[in-house]
Amino acid sequence: MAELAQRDPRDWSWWYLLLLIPFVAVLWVPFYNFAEPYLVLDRQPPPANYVRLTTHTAKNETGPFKVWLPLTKPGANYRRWIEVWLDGKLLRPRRDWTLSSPSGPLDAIPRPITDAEITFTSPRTGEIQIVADRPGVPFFYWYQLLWVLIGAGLTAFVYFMTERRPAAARK
Amino acid sequence: MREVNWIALTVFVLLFGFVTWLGFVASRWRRGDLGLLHEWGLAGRRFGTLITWFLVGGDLYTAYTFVAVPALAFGAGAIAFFAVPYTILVYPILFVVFPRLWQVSHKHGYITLADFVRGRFGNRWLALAVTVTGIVATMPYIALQLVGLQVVIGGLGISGKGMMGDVPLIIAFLLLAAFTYTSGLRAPAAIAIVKDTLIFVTVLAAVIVIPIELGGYSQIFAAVPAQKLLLAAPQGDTTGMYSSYATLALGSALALFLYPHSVTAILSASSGHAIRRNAAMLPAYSLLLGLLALLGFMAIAAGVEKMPEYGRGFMQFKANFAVPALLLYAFPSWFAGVAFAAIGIGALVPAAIMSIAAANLFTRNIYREFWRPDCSHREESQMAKWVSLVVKIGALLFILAVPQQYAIQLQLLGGIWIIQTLPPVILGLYTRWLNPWALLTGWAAGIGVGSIIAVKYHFTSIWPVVIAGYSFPGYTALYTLVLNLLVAAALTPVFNALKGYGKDETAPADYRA
Repeated sequence: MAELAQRDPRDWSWWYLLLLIPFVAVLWVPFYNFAEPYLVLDRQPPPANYVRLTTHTAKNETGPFKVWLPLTKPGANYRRWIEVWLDGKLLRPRRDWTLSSPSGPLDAIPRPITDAEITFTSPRTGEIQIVADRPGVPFFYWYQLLWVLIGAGLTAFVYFMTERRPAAARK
Repeated sequence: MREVNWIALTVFVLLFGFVTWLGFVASRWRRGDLGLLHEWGLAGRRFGTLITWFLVGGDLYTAYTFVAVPALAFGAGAIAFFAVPYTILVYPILFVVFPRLWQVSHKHGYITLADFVRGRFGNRWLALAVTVTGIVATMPYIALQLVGLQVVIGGLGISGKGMMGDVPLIIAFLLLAAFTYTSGLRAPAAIAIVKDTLIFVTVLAAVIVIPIELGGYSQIFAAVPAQKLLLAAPQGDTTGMYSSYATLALGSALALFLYPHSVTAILSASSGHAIRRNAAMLPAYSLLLGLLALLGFMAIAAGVEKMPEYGRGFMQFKANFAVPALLLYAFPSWFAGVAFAAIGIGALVPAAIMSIAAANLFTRNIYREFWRPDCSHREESQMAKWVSLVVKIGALLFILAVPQQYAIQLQLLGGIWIIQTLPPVILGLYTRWLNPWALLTGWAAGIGVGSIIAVKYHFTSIWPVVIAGYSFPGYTALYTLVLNLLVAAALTPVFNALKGYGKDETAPADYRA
């Protein structure tokens, strides 16, 4: 009886090593102490008092419309730099509007870019809202919350892998 | 203070009355002879997976947690989120280690950790050290539950000068004392089902409704000052907040299931399997805790601190008033009453289990061990009931008579002290290599040095260890645990030569299912 008990895989199993993964994932703080990439849970028009907001009115025109907000991110991929809303509807970058600067190509001019402007790909009418630096949930937060779920999943997996074994061993 | 919010107060009183009734009738739930300590103090070890889930969740996620974690996020920002990795790490430890404790405790009838240490190492003084540490670390924890209760009572608009202001708190604790005495662990287990349901409803409503009111999560995070949003990156020869954050999470995770109330909850499970299943299911509460921490940021975005109607609440309770103010701001009065009841009942459940756990420790490991070795089972159970009353009254007097800051400081010291019991308990579940006298010396070194550091650094949790000019700020409890282990390991050969080992009453097979 004692020998049987000593062979019980629940006492030790190599599957337990999986439980070390969350320790590495959440104790290595420099890996996740960043704001980006953001998790965007909701896209709502900005409130009128938002600090990084520029508004214009379009009358069946393509622009350009000045952003009036300093842009600091490097490169030329501006998809996440700003949001553009038209009458409360979020427009898609590149398909609905493009970003440019009179100073030169976006990836070549010094930061911050202070004279950026948007141009619609087709004439539009309505109230335009341009928003900068409106992040979603920073990486630091959603990464750790995600690991709550992954950790629970790993523990459940290890439970099933180690609980089934005695039955198999009995057969 | 604000005027009394009668609607919220009515809902609060009705729910509080319901759980009080539940606490008394719980004595007939899964009926057992409450004249026996394992029936009164562990509910006969008959709770299945689901009840254990409610009980452990109700026990670990306390009213103080619900108030203090968002308050820390509100005041200090990202550092408050260490509670999330802490609860991520604690469940793998629960999964691997504590089914062994349950098995050996079930086999030998152990009710406390000190019972196990006594049986494993055959040394009553080491068991006494574990007992005293457990009781002393638990007392301020109970007192802090009262802080959570005080804050929600303040949120309801109830105030008064002197003793009159404390009457609601005294009534709540007298009721708690009465149903704990009558029903033992069955009372908090039954109430935990109500409390956890209310908490889940409240937090889910809060994380859906409040962001809609405030313009979404993007808007909430945009309102948080940049210096609070992330941990400050280390500058120069230091690991800065990175090591502080990681060691706080790891040290807290190692300490959690050494607290007597945590052990009482898991030993009341019906099997080691129920504990293992719970290790996978309990992270639902961790997710809840993470979402709850975000309420602190929601309070910043809502600007409740600057609203005149909450000014006196913030003046009295400081950042701890952030969550009550946010709930009052965002919800109709009746739902604020539900949310306050959830937090208030969230004080009763852990306070009841903590007082039972402290009573079990005193009765089994001091009264029976040193005063009345021949006492009957009924006398043992009766003594535990009386001690549970004394513990609660002591906590109540403490919080009424002593400034709240002392309870917080003692609770911080409690974290440093309780982790020093890790070597005999957790390592003891796997090996007897360490000599009990060496373990006792290591325990004393950890407690002594940890207490001195805490006092010297004005009761902050973080201590900067400097090695070769490089600073590693970290959780004092974890550093002093390392000292404890080094001392125990170094002195083991010495004590083996001088005193030898005590008798081990357990066998390897006792630890396995």
